[in-house]
Amino acid sequence: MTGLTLNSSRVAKSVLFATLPLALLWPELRQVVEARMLLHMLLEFPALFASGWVMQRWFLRQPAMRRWAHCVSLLDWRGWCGATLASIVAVAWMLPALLDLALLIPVVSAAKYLSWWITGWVLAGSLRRMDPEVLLFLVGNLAWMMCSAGMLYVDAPDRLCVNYLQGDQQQTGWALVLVAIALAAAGLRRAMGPSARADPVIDSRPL
Amino acid sequence: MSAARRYRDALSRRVSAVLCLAMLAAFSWGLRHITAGFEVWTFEGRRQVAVRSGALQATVVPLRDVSNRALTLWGDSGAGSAAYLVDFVYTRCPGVCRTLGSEFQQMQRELASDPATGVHLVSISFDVEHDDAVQLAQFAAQLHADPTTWIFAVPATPSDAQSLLRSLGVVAIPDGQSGFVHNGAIHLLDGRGRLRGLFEVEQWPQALAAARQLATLARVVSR
Repeated sequence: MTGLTLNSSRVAKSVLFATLPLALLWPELRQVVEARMLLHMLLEFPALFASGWVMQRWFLRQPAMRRWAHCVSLLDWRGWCGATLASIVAVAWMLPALLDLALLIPVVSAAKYLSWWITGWVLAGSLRRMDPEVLLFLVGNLAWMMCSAGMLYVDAPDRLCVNYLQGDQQQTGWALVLVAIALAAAGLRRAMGPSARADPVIDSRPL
Repeated sequence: MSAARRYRDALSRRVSAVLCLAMLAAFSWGLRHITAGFEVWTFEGRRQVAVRSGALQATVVPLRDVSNRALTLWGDSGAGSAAYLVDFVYTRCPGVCRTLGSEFQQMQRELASDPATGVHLVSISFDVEHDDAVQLAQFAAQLHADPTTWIFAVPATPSDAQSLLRSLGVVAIPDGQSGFVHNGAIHLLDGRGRLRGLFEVEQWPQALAAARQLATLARVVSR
């Protein structure tokens, strides 16, 4: 009975995370979220990422999809492609110019939604194949970039984004620094953990 | 490790390396495009680059003046030799707009003492829902604007205002205290509405000199 309850709770959480970005289809809500830099970067981006991540995990649990997933894993040797994609997407959406363009040009906005969702999807598979060294490099790189961007947002004497107020920019900067510290700690914990070493070729551990 | 597995591993490694390089190359190309050759990293920086290349042009939208008459500025065929120094304001603005107003007053004084044919000062309100002709006339009177030199106007509808602001890369956002914050200060437009220069408030002497030069040059060319 307890197992069943735990399982239902896990499914409910997965469904919630997977479908959360659909709320952005409601224009008023999207406007509220994207009108604040803090919510845009630290709520919307993670929500899109988490949705892709959860969908990939669900996808991998389907027996019919195993073969397809196996073929895809051949394109992502030891998680290199996932690490590269995650680094690129994270850098791109920390650039002030792109943050502004995503609010002003619909194509850039679509690219933002898609890129974060796909990154979540890809990384959910990649992380399982990643060697601890690559994982540490990825997390260290992300944390360093987030920290640098955060400090830049805090220290900039003027608004870096025309769509956001300076106070909001500074709050986002501090939040990015805190997330960078948390990310670095989580990466270290995972990389140093007992089951850190991944399968060298194809991920075959139980899901 | 079996030979088949080793082969598969080597193939997977090579394909993944190519994919990684392709992603990095595509990202570098995109980044170079967005940052104008890794030069500018903000929207405002991109706008400055666009001004230098003459890529920004003000949309022609219906405007109303302080007497609620329809007004056409740039884009008019007869306005070929004109130069407009434009700022964007809203009449409830307590801070920057008033500062801009005082800079425009100084430019107005300069133009009165040393007239320049074809140079116009233009203040356009983007707060269309609040700023009607009466509000605009009061604002102009408070700033002692001479209507022969300094024109006050408001777009006909909010979407006209948005269209005009967007065409020049100006973004106005609520400041959380029932006002607005926006980028850009003094915009120099030619007779066709092309954005020829961007100046900070304190650079008004340079803005005026550039406008005089632009109007003179346009007159010489049109002869």
